[in-house]
Amino acid sequence: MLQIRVIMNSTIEEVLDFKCCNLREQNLEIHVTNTGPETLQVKSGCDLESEAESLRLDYLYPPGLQTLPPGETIAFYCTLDEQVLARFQRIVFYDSRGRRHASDLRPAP
Amino acid sequence: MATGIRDKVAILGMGCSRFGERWDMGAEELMVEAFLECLEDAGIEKDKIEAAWLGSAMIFVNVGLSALPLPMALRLPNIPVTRVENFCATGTEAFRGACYAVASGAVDIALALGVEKLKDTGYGGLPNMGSNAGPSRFLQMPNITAPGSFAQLASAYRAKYKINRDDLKKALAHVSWKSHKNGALNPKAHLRKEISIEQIMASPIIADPLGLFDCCGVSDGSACAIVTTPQIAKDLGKKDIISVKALQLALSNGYEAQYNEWQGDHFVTTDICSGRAYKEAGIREPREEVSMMEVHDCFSITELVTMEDLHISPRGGAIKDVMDGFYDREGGLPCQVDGGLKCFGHPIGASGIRMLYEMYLQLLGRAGKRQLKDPKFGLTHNLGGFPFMNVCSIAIIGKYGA
Repeated sequence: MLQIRVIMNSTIEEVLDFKCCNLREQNLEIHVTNTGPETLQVKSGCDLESEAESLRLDYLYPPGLQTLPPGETIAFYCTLDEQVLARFQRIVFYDSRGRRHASDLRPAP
Repeated sequence: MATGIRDKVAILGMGCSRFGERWDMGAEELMVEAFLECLEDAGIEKDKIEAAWLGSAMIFVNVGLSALPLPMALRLPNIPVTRVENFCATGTEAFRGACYAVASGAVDIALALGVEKLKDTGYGGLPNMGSNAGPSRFLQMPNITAPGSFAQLASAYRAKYKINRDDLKKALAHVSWKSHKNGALNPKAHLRKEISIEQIMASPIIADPLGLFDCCGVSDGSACAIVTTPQIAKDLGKKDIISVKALQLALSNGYEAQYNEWQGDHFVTTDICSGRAYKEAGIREPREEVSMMEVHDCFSITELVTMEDLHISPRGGAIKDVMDGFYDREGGLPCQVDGGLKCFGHPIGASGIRMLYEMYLQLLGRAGKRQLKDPKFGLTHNLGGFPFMNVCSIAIIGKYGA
């Protein structure tokens, strides 16, 4: 089970730009936490979904499969326009066994 | 018998450029930016400066050989100028040269200036020095990386004090969190936004256990100081005089790298250098007497371990002090009040004097939103090289006569 938290226009954008070569404008920060009992391998990519459309983000950093032990959190970063993100209701990550882990982008108040 | 530097040299003025990715400026313009502030603060004409020391480390991507860039950029008329380089202690080394010149009576007023422009190289870290580092160093440090080497320090520290990885990661995160919180208050810092503990803990690993926020970046910047004797400072109308209390340097001699006693868990040089600095400054109980510090936080683990080598935290006790907030701005001994290397980046030649600049502002009550209550002594520390072979410099400044 993955818990997903999205931070739009993150303060980390400036830090990545400062410290990392060619990793600029990473304004979207996504925290993925393994809340289950077993270690998962999480794919570096996700889908944004709404009733009308979906958008695959396959350019997240860091790339590749990420191993996530129980209770641990990993951050992914990418470029995404705030208005584009606002069109979607859900974000979906996948583990190495193909299972969907979805989270609402706009939780009910 | 030597009596040390205590109260023999006063800081007449200081200046510091804004640090950052300064595409709009070369090293020469950065020098001018820091120098103009310094000169105005000192309240003298530049022809009163009788000698200068220039600190610059990465000459092959920077100002180049000789000390000529300083008098050329600042239009200083035919005075003696010396360029110095001593790894990350370069800025403090320039300051030491100027202070010793004044203390010896060779000159009345001297300038120390550090500068480095590194963002143009395109690297996130320091450029590879290769054989430019010198034949012996190149042989002793083949293929090593700075994060990898300091990650080994973290592992050795964990092993010695039987600390689990999570506890160390949380303490390292607190070290970075605190610096970013302070840096957000500093208009001259490169990075000026607060970062949460969660963001730090979730960020990518660079060299385990060190993550992105445990490693400082490089930057462009310059800082400088004009020094003189306390008497001349008084004659020039200075009322609140800040004087130099200690200037110490300790370099590895092969003990760490070539013998078995050292366990890789601390900095031998800092341990020795700090003892000498306290003695020179007349400080007996550093935890109680030092008011604030800027230490070399190239990596969070460096800062944490340095707290013990400076004899502030007991051996194995730095994690508790960090987590108790002892080194926070509101804590018992604030550290990295200006944001440190984490928020300023590390233009090698400038960093040591940039640290002194914050101590100077604090002592004069000019640190704005970062101002601490009535500081008495400020300590700065630089560590250049690697845990097993390094240059350590420590400077202590304070109110004259304190």
